[in-house]
Amino acid sequence: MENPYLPKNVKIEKIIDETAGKDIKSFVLSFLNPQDCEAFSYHPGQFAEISIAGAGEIPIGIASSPSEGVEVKFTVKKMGVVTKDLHNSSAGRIIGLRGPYGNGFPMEELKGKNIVIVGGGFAFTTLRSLAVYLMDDSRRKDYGDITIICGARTPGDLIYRQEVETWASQPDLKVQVTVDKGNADWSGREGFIPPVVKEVAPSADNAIALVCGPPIMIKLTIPILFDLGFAPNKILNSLEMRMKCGFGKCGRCNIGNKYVCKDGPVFTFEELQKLPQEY
Amino acid sequence: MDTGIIKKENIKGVIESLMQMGKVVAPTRQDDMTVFSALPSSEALDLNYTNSKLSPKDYFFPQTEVLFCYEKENNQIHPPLIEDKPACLVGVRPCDAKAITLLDCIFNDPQYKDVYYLNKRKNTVVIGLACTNPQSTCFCTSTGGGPLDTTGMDMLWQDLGDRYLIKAVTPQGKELASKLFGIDKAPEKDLSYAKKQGEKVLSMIPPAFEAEKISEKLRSSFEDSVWETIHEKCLGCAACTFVCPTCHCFDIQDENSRDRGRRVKLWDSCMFPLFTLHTSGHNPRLSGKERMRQRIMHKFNYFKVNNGHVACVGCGRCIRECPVNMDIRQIVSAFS
Repeated sequence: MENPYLPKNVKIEKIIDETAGKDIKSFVLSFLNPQDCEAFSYHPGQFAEISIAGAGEIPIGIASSPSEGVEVKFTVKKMGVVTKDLHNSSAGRIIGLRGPYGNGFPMEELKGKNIVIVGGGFAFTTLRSLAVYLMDDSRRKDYGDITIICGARTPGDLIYRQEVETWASQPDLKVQVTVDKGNADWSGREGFIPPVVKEVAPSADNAIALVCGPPIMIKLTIPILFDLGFAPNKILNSLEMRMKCGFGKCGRCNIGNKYVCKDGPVFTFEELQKLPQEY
Repeated sequence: MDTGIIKKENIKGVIESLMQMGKVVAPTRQDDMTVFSALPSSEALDLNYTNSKLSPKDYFFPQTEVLFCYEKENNQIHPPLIEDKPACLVGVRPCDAKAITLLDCIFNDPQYKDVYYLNKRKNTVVIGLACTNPQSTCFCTSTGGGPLDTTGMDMLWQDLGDRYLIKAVTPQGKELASKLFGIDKAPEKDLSYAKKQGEKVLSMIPPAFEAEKISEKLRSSFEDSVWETIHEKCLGCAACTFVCPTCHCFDIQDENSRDRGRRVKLWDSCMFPLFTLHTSGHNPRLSGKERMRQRIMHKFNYFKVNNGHVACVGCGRCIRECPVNMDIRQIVSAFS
């Protein structure tokens, strides 16, 4: 019987500073044991528990796409005990990983659809995984139009900035990047995400919208998507909750009878409407 | 053998034969409490108890359990040897035996198996002890149980005064009964007396509420104004969840000792504010109101929706141990 509590060892191959404030870093990890690597079969929208012996474990959304190869990337903000310890790491350090967990995005359901991705701040991580997955040469033809609207507080807070800029130059993608407040070096859009969604007005026709970001952004974006004609079951959110085990046992991440770790973290807005407003 | 009789003078021998087969965990007297512990000898057994201070849940799901030891250097993990020996849990009241089947729903779910729990569970025979002396706090009949309920047991023992009536429930129970020393055939008069005794005890526990009805009512009661006031007396000490035989929430912590340590799984409680506190400072269950609502909703609605039973067996420990005399029967009856 597989012991689900045991982390598998991974090596930090690379650490990337994602923001000017250096409080958000991406960690590229590779499994030490090829069997563990094979067993870690994931799809966009899932998460895993990063484990550091002596510090603890944290659930973090997977930022890489399985189409990128065997290395797994996580983008982590420095917040608590484990993330601080992780941020103090150098490349080459051995840490633990267990997962993947959660339902992730409904990849089969997205096939043949126009995709609207709306991401604010560093909640963009699993949406990055999705975007890279959809744009993979072997899959791009399976999906219709792809619109990406993302933003952050300031230009320095934009994660994956260079990558998003290269997306913006691709003819088969519509990309809009905005910041709440620009600076001298910023020639792009300024303003909050919800009004940008309104302005860009992606068609709801045969479309699914995936929205991740701070609660206030989600709250203001949803009515705009409704106005554009998106039905509640065509809007997907990914939720965060305090977790320990990550697989539905420790009992703290529930919203009503649903566990964010096991039944989520991705829920349609229609599902969320049926759950108690306790998140 | 489906039924049989053990005379009380032979009980020592029966326990000794069980001890030869493996570890025997049973009620023992410690200070002024009855607690479940591994019997050092058959003398230590105490079956004359009303109900134990704590349920035997911690045999399968210990308050603190080491998941593994580690060395910080290079994240070296040393998985523990998971206990895999036969054992017997003796003298479990029907409420507590039923609670084990509810824990199974969590730790033995089809997707993720808790190996620590399951290795003990699959190697353990559960011998129940029928309830003959219910307390004023008992309400098993409100949650689908009763003094002779055999749910979760391999065998049931019923105290008939100078003897125990033995009833094998599962094939494992039957097999064990055939191996035990000192079991005689049960005469017809013992069987009819046992039945009568069960009925008498049952009549001493009138149902306090209808769990099914309350479960259904709670479905639409998340925003009910009852929650505003019903929690006010609660101190948030979590004694109710710690003594509960069905509460199963846990924390995972690293305990360090210089450059090494151990990762432990330990009981936690939804009654604590830290339980759901995000690192960002956001807390979806900010006050006692939300936490009390979670405990009641989880037991009587969410768990029922997910697993088909309410997560309460009516043992009454939360009522007995509450420092401010909160009574779960009254709380749920507010929704009847």
